Amino acid sequence: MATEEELANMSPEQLQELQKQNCIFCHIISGKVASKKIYEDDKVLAILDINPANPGHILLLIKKHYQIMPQIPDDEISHMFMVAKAISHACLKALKAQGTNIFIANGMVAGQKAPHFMLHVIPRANVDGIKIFDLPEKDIPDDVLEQIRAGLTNKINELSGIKTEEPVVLDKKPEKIGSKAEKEIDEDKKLQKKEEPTKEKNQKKTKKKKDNKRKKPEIYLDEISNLMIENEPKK
Amino acid sequence: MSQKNNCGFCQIITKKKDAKRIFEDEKALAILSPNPCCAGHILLMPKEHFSIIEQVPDYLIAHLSKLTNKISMAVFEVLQAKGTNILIQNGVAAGQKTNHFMIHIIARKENDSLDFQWQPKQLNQEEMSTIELKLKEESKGIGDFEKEEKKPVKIDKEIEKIDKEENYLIKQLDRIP
Repeated sequence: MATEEELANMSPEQLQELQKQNCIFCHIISGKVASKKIYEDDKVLAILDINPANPGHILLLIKKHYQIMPQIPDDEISHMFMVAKAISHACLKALKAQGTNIFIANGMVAGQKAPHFMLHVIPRANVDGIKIFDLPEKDIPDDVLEQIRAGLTNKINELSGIKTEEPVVLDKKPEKIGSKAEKEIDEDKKLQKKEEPTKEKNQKKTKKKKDNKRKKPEIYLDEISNLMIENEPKK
Repeated sequence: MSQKNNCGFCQIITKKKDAKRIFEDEKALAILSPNPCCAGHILLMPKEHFSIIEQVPDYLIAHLSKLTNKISMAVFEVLQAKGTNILIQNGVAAGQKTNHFMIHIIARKENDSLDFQWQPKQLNQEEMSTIELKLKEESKGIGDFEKEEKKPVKIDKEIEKIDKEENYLIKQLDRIP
């Protein structure tokens, strides 16, 4: 194992390489560690979980090493879900399951235990005694929900490249982890509100904005990934 | 059809019923759950009525999964979530309470009183091997994913046009002595 000092001096690429070397699931994928393989193609591998919630509990792994879902490109995510559907179908047929749960834990707080992204397919029966997937219901005030709705709508539209009509309420935005890119975006928004720029300026700004948007999630994601690295040795 | 008419979520999709809409495109709708399990519980559903995932065409699953990832990203940033859970309850035995297929996206924070940890069940080697064999056998056919077909409406119109043109040409030919 590398010392803390070495870890601190490593580039992100080196860190990722180190994580791969220490990742049990990467070893399973490369075949260094034995597993009960159910399905394999060039992008994903499905194996039986050795600590199953129910008999037939399958882990669907992406072959490339990603820690959390937002790091994964669209084509790999969609391939993974299509395979998950097929595996769910296989569970129903082969194991005579009465239902399946498809479950993703994304981040340590959400119950993710290994730093390799995976999707669980769990065959279910009426009397299997698993209650964790029955979602509880909570009373959440309407104004809180409304705030969440407005915030999410804006963000998802932004991620999809759609302009929103609803105004962005700056002071209600939670404090973000400070980074230059984010500040620039805020400034951009303020500028746009104040003056109506010419078309040329506008185009430049949107370009700039787009660049920033691309950078922004990465900055945030690193924070989450770092959390996981920090937490790892404690286990 | 009757299933569709009775489905509360189809009524939300057709705007007969109110809901806190988050995102909508021609194929899918995302809303805040009317019975939330936490602040930040999102339901993503296809607009067409399906009960379980096996009925949903592959290309629609692909579309929904991309949206799931986007919504999950938005949850991270907007709600300052430290994690997300994505859950599909497929069948009543799996906890499905609605007749409309949907993907749950749940924002997670530390000490939020939600818990998705299961108790591992102990199976012996023989049981594991039997399951492995059965599943492997059923999984052989995986890989041929449906692609979205082009909308037939447009094609029909094109064919009609061609027909008329051809007729016109044929009639012209007839006229030549």
